[in-house]
Amino acid sequence: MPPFLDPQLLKGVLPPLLLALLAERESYGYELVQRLREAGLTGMSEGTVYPALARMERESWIQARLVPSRSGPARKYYRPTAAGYAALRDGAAAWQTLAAVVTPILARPIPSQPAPPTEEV
Amino acid sequence: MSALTFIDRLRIERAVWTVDAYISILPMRRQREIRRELRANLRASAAQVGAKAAIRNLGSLRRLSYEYLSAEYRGRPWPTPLKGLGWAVVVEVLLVLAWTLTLSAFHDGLAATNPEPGRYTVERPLIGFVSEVTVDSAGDLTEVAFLVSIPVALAWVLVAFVVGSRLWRVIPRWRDRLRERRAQREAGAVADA
Repeated sequence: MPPFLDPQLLKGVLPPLLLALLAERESYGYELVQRLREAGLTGMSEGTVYPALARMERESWIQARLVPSRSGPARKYYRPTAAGYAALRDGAAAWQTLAAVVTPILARPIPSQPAPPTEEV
Repeated sequence: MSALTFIDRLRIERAVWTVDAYISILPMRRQREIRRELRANLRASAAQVGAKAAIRNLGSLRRLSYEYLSAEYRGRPWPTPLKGLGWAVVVEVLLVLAWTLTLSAFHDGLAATNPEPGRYTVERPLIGFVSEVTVDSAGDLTEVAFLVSIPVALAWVLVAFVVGSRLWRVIPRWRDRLRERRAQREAGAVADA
């Protein structure tokens, strides 16, 4: 069973993730949820992704167009704007910087109990 | 993929319109866009996992609506017209109560003082209330008339609505919209040049 992914942890990284997927291929909301789940974020909920898309559209990071669907109403397909590509680059760099600091610390073996302070009072 | 039944469509519409009710403070055009997108996404999801699961996967509809509003207002607080309406009703009830109590107190006070025959008037401009009582030669209060000022009452109700709904919170959003339109116009002008 994959480890539980805290939604709060994902929240900050969700816009760059969505931008990265949209940079690969234009998608509509539910398709993006599926792509995130296929990528391993199995607990990703629609209720998290749809407002994130609304927020990114409001920030002019993505633009949308309606594409008629054979199986129902027209779907809103998104793609990144120039500002979105810039946000993606910034977001990816920020994530990589954070991961480079956090990963070595969290990868250390976990001791059974903390060592005493270096200076005893 | 499976075709949606009539009941599935009804379930989806119920979820869509529930969200719509929560986001009713947004401009109608934006509300319509959100409704359409949510409906299309729910139908796509329902075709794969069923309508019930598709709606369940949205999580709390109230939370989803809150997130939509937060996205629209960029995390800033938004106006609450329903609360404003509640406050307007409370103020209207209080005004009616104040008018009734003023009339009753004036009537009782006058009766207790054995008044001379004539006309007695009370005015309360703050609550828009005027009353006139006529006392006959026997000292009886024969005619009680009162008048309420509709403009004053409406002003109080309006103030309650504006304060209760925090209507001024729409101002930053309007500013954002104006700024965006200006930026779009300028970008268009640059592209034309």
